[in-house]
Amino acid sequence: MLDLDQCLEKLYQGQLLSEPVIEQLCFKLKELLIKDSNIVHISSPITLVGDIHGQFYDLLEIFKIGGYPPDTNYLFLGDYVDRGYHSVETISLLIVLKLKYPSRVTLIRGNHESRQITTNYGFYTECATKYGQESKVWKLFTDLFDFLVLAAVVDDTLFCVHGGLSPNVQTIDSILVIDRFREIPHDGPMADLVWSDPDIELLNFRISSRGAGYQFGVNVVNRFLQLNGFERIYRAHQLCNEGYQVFWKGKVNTVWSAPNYCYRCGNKASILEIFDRLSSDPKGFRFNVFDASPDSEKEFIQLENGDGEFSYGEDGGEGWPAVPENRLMKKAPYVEYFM
Amino acid sequence: MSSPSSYPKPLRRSFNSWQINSAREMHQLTVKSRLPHRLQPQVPNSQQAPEGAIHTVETPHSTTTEIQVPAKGHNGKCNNPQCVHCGAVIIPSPAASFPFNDTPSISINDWQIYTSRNPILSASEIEEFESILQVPVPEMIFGNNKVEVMNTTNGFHLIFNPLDALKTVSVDPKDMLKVSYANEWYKSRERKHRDDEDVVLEVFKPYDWTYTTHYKGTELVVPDPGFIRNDNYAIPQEKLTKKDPILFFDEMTLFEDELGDNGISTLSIKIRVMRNCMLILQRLFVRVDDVMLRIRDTRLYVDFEDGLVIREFKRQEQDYGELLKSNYLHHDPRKMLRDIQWCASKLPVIDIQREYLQL
Repeated sequence: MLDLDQCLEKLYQGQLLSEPVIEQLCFKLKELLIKDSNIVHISSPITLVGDIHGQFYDLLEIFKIGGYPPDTNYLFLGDYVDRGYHSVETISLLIVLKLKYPSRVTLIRGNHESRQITTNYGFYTECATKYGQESKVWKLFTDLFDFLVLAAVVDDTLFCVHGGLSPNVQTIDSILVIDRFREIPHDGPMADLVWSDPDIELLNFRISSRGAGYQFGVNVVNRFLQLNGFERIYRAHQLCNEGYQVFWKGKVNTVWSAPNYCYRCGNKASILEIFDRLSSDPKGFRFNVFDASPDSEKEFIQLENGDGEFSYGEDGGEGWPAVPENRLMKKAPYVEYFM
Repeated sequence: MSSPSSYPKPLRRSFNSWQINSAREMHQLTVKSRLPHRLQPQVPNSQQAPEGAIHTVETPHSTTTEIQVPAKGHNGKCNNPQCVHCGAVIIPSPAASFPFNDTPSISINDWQIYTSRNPILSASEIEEFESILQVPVPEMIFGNNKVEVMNTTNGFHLIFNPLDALKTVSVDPKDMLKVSYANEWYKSRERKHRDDEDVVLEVFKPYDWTYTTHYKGTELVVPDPGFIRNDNYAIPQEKLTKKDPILFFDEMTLFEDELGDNGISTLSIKIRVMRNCMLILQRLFVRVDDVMLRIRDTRLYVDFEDGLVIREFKRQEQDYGELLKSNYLHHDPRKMLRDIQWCASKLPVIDIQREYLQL
């Protein structure tokens, strides 16, 4: 029997779920997601969360700041895994939350929810590390990624997507006809939605200097908004020091939710709180900016063993192993005789 | 539901201890300032000392070497004191600031060494950089970081900073690399947008998006006759392998870009200062997935005793598939291609150039 409450309790404590449980969770969630259209329609009030990238303790901080589900509705804009040290915990928690509160939690697909990218940027390695090379956890997760929706529309006026616009998408009808149950291709509207970036200097579309992918300008934004009757576009995908970035007077906005990205950028993060229509707030939304959580020190709680390398501590059942304080606070200047 | 005993046990470790350590230190720097004051570790002689005070710690055998922390010419406050036990400069600073800002320095006789470590640039600073460079800056741009070496007697002043490094990035479309699937992608675009005026197919303002810089540091002041090219001037290994105590060690990223998830380009720099010599290693690492890997190392060696400066520039490069083949037995072969140290040991060397300066 799958006990979601028990899973939640474990995950909130930072523990891993066992492989059979993950298998059941992924199966259940696929069952749920397969019924969703490529674009889901949701209503305010809702809180938008941008890239998390395996920074699990910063995700817990987000819930502390913005409220825990189901008291707050959440729309996650993708890029849950890779780069941070706790991608498995992050995606496991989001899966359980989605299963437990399907109408309160929405997950969209980011460019890192893909097999190819996760082998290059750490999620594959993390799965093999935490569950063993023989386990199929990575396959379970990446198969599930194929079912995630591509975009969301809030109150029929706010278009939310991971990356941005595509020259193949004039109206959202062309998103609805995409066959999304597959690996993210290099080419076509599905790729553009998770990859493309706005560029303040541009009017139309431009091919990125890398030779693949698009950047989009203000004219295509205006036309897309007008044709579809939208007011704004919210997206994630790009790191910004302030935690959010506003383009073209708010027509396009970036939400970035990984503070101190990769544990060294020193940047702020934000979540976007969209109030309901009856709210007295004149703007109707707020970027709630936050810094790396002091709790996120737990990202590094690992015990040093004899050979000077780190391993995960034995779990005493309380979530985090008791670590001698002096080990955590050890701050001997780190030097290296590099050549 | 599984019992506690069935929790998966980690079989292998993914991150090296130094990666965890440095991540932890950077992380502490950024978050510690938000904790209540009493929770901060008490560090003697750091905050209590009057501003501008110079801590000089006599280290053994210091008969002729004069060491000062912070450096003689240090402007403003310095939060990086010298360790009272070993004499090394404490980096990162024991006193946290938010946003973090570390400006340690040291002077040894007439040499002064400064470094500076800060968060990534803000949107307005990025705009400023881009108006100077005329190309988009890398995704993570640590524009206020620097490593600086100067000699006050002979007028030698060299600085490593990201802005000048990015100025040497090529804007010539002839040597542009393309991502692995670019050709296939471009052809299908061409068919689709033949009559579509919304899409500009030419690459607008082309630049080397891998940020392959040929930067060897900015020479602010170099006495005549300047650096002289001589490939025989190797950096003396014996002085650097002697394991003299390191008085000053710092490392930082100048910029990093994930190439739109097609790989990585990162320019980082390390410095270590001993009693009689110092070494700087600036390393550019470029990995374009399924295309190629590239390393550009600039080493600057300074001998404090005989005033000799040697600068070495080393290029390494290989096809991605070739390097992957050499590692095909590994269960997760691409993992090694993320390890810059490993790549540096495997990539074939194209050439090494050396130049020296006798002060």
